[in-house]
Amino acid sequence: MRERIRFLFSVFTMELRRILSYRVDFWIQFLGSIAAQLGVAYFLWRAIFDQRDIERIGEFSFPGLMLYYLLAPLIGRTIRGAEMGSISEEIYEGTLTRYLIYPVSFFRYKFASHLAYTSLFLAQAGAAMLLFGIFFGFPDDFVFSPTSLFVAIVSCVLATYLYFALIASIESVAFWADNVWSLVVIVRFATGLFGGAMIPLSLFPSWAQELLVFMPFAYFISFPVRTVLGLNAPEAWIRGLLVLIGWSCAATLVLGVVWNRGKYRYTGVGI
Amino acid sequence: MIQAQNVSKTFKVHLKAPGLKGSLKALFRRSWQTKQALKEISLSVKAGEIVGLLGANGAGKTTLVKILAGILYPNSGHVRVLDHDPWQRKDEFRRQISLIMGQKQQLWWDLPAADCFLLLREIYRIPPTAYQRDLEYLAETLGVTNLLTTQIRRLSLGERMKMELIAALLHQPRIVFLDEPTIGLDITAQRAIRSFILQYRQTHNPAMILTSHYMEDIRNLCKRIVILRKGEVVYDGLLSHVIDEFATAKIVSARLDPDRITEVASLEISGKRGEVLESTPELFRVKVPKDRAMECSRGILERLPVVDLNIEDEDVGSIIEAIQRAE
Repeated sequence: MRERIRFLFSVFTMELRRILSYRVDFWIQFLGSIAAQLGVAYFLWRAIFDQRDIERIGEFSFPGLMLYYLLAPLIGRTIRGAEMGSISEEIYEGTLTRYLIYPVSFFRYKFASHLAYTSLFLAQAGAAMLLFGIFFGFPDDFVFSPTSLFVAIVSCVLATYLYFALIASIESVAFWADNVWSLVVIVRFATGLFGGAMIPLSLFPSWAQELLVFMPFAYFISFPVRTVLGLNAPEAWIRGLLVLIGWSCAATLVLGVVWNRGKYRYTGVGI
Repeated sequence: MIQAQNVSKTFKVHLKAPGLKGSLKALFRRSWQTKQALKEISLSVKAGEIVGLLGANGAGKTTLVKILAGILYPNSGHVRVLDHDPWQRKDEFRRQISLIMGQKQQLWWDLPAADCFLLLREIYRIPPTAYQRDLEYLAETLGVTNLLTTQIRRLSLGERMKMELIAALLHQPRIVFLDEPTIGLDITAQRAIRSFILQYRQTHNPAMILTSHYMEDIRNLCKRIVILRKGEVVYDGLLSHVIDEFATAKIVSARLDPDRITEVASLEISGKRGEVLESTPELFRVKVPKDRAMECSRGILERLPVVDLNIEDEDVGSIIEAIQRAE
């Protein structure tokens, strides 16, 4: 067990070193994506607030909405971790071979490297929150509490695993279809839309909200963000964590089946 | 250490007609072809042996190596490597094998070799002292100590290959699969890698299977070769016996005195079944059927001003090539 943890830690630190060796990309990812997301949200919602001459939309004031739009991509990225495509590329290009030769579990290895991205994005999220607090102050329509922060962290951990298992299952379809890029893009889009990155889920029709509670997407963005901001009640925490655990078990099962069948089809490029 | 019995493997390959029409058609209906990559292959390799696996492109060499390494599973037959079924990929098995693929990078492109090796230390659970000692030894022998901190992607092909070798041997595997380890390398790098492999064999006594298209690799490293043709073993034996068993011709070379030469009646001397390889006032070389070598030599001695005469076997590379092509 100790050796396994040491190995996972090695993969984790190696991946961090790999990411940090490209500093231009690091800073562009950090600043560029926040600026783009926040910029679009600012101009869109400012126009809506001004034209309708309103103080609030749903449960959000304008500064509150901006904080939501800052947190949503940051937490979303933290949970998504490594960029998509890495598993399917390994299968497609035949580099999966090295993981089959090494005495390690491929998915454990990949999850450890996924966590490297996650931790880096988490640090970025913390820094961005701090800067937001210093320059603009936190809007008073949210109630921050240590308990909600703790629940948010637990949900983030579970959601990180769920997202990984979900994406790994989908990318493993590459054993059959070679190229699964569009499948992954669909999941990414669905996560953005039904996860609350584009529009807060509380602004969706109520029937859609009730349905989305049982889908996995909300737990990748909306649920942890709302929990941090103190917008989720304790009953929602419990239900949310249970749904997350359920989906995680299902995704693990699916991943196991897909992998066990898919590996029979692997050729490692060329015959 | 390696036992394969009646191993067969087929692949289902998608066929697509050329051109846009073919691509559009394939969107709706695909045609498939079953390709038999290996047919009833049997093979065994002992500790300390380096077996050269030869064959033309598509003969099944890499497929066989992948099956023995546990990457592919065979459709039929039995494989035992170090008393394990490779396909089960038990960690205990994988800790004792190594696969080097000349055409496929296994190290992490964005990292310096030293970082990759550190990760491999954890993967193979190599004790720190043994790791340090072996890394120093391997890096020094291959002459890459000063390159360990350079990003893999910034190394030359030869340097990268040397790093791949270090990565593959750090855990001192008992079985080493070398799939075209010298492909694309210059002569100096090829030589360095060959002598390193021999040195490693001497010190660690592993079983090795080598595939290569370079005859120099085979000549220098392998006593025994296995020749595959269209997925079947057509020869399994000593390299030195290939000539006895398969050579159909001899090369007769005569060094001539250019001052005394009048005319080289090459065709007449070599006969209808011979092939003149070189015909100058200084040298006459002819390839003749084995049983006609003496007769041809006599003809040359009688008709030409010979200074020196030599009868030699065909180049082993050409013989192997002919076997691969089923000639």
